[in-house]
Amino acid sequence: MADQISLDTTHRFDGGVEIRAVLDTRLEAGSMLVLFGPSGAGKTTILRTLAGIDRPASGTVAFNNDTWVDVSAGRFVQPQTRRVGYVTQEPALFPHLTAAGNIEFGIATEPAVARRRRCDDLMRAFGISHLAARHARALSGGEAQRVALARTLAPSPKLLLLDEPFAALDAASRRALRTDVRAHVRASGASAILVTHDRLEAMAMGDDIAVIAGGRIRQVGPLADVFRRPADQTVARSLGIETVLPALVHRDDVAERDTAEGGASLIQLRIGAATLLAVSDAGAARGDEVFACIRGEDVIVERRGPSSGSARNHLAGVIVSIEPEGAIDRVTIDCGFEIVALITRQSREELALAPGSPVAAAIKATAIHVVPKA
Amino acid sequence: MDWVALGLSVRLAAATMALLVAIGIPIAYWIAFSRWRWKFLVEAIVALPIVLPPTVLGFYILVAIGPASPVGRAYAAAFGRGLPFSFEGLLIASVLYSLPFAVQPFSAGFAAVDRRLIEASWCLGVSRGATFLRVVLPLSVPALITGMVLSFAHTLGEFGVVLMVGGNLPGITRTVSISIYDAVQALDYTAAWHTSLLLLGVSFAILAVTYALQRSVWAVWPIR
Repeated sequence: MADQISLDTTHRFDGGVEIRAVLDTRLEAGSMLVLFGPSGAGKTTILRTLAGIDRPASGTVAFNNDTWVDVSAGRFVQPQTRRVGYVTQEPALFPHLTAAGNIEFGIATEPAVARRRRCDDLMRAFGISHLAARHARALSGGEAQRVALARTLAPSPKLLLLDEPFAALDAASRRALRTDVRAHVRASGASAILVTHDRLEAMAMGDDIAVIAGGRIRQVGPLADVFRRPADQTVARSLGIETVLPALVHRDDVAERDTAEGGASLIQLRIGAATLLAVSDAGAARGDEVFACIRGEDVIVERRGPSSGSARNHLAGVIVSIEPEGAIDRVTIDCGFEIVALITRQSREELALAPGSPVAAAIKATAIHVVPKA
Repeated sequence: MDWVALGLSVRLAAATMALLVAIGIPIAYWIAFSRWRWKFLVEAIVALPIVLPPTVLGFYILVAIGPASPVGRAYAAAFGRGLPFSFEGLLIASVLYSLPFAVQPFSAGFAAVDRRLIEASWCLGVSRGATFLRVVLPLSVPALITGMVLSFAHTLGEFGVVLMVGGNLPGITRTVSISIYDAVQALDYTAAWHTSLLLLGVSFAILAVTYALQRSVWAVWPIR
């Protein structure tokens, strides 16, 4: 079952700042929509409005067939009855309760046996069973955030809102928690919206992405599509990465991995029929599904000569389109899959590139960023 | 030593404190969370007893509960006796007189509870009332204790209002501070010494225990 979210609201803040937030999208069950954009773009406002904590100055909010907010009709559904889970960057645990007390807070009206079981299940899913009796104040940041997520999921929300919940965590616990959250959302069948300004997190977590700027959603769509075909320059600039390719880790032992913890390794990726060497510091293993991310300025475009076919990380292709973006041209190359290169107009003219030109795209292994899917 | 007066004072202070918990918590909740633009008027009214001379307050209460007022008439009709110069009348006066000493710490405590905890509770489906009982109240325990101790101690030491509303009836309205005043008037300095010393000791002990149990209790007005 898919969920339809329709939000069109205006918000007024102290000092006369006014922003309009518009989001109209469909979320498949168990899928995650990433709201991606810079700080101050209005991402949190959208989440708080969906949660029912912020009241818009005007507009409407609807979830499936329920109208949650209709300011002109005086309708406002209280957060208590929306069945929305909301997790913020700060865990905001109830400091006078234990971890288990926090998790059971929202299901207090259920029978004790069911409550305990639900709490135990969630604690196991998030690896915090040993913390049950620990006081909220005595938890570390990562532990507290796990408890906060379990607490939010306990009443089985229909919609899960995640407002940069991993931002305050260290890299290791962030990666682990992302995986657990992603797995839980997929299994529970609830839809989720994740707010982030971290594009790697967006790629690791998202099925769909909504790029937001100035309170307005500029583009919504499947992750790789939006990266490949940004609707406009604002979107392209805020995404920052032009090519995002689903890839499979073909070999993870191309070079001896540095024995030191966290050292990067050289891996071989299979993208369609092509193979590319890439550097990964995320510990990708053979058979993993990953995203290969390549910035447009890291793609070198060469005229294809008779001898250039065999060079390492050279992909033979044909130019599909050239779109000028100021002094830079955005060149899309079809190599079996599409790669976007950003080159200066000067070099485009020197190389006499035009749609249909046979070219080779060269990418350094260090310029390919590997993002494992959570 | 006027043990009767001391017993009466403790009874009055305890009853006042209990009533102020019942009345003060809803008022404090409203002050802490209402967004009504004229809220400051209510806050000013609640704070009046701090600055008003006790005689002025006592005079108005006396008039308000006297036989000429609707309240006084209704009470007399129901119970067959008047409110002025009775323990009940004195209790009403004490509650009003100590109102800010309970309401202000209470509302400061409620307002200091992290807004995000309240929002988290709402999003977990917990009603506003239950959120107050399960989140706001438990986290305001220090403020509740402060308000209770202050209203108890303040009632124990009141003088002007008691004199205006209660008069000086032994065992009924003659509180310990009036008893000290009487002793001094009668040049019975020994009795005044003893009772004063006892009151000083009791007041000090209450405050010392409160301070020992918790730090920074004397937050009288919400700091915003």
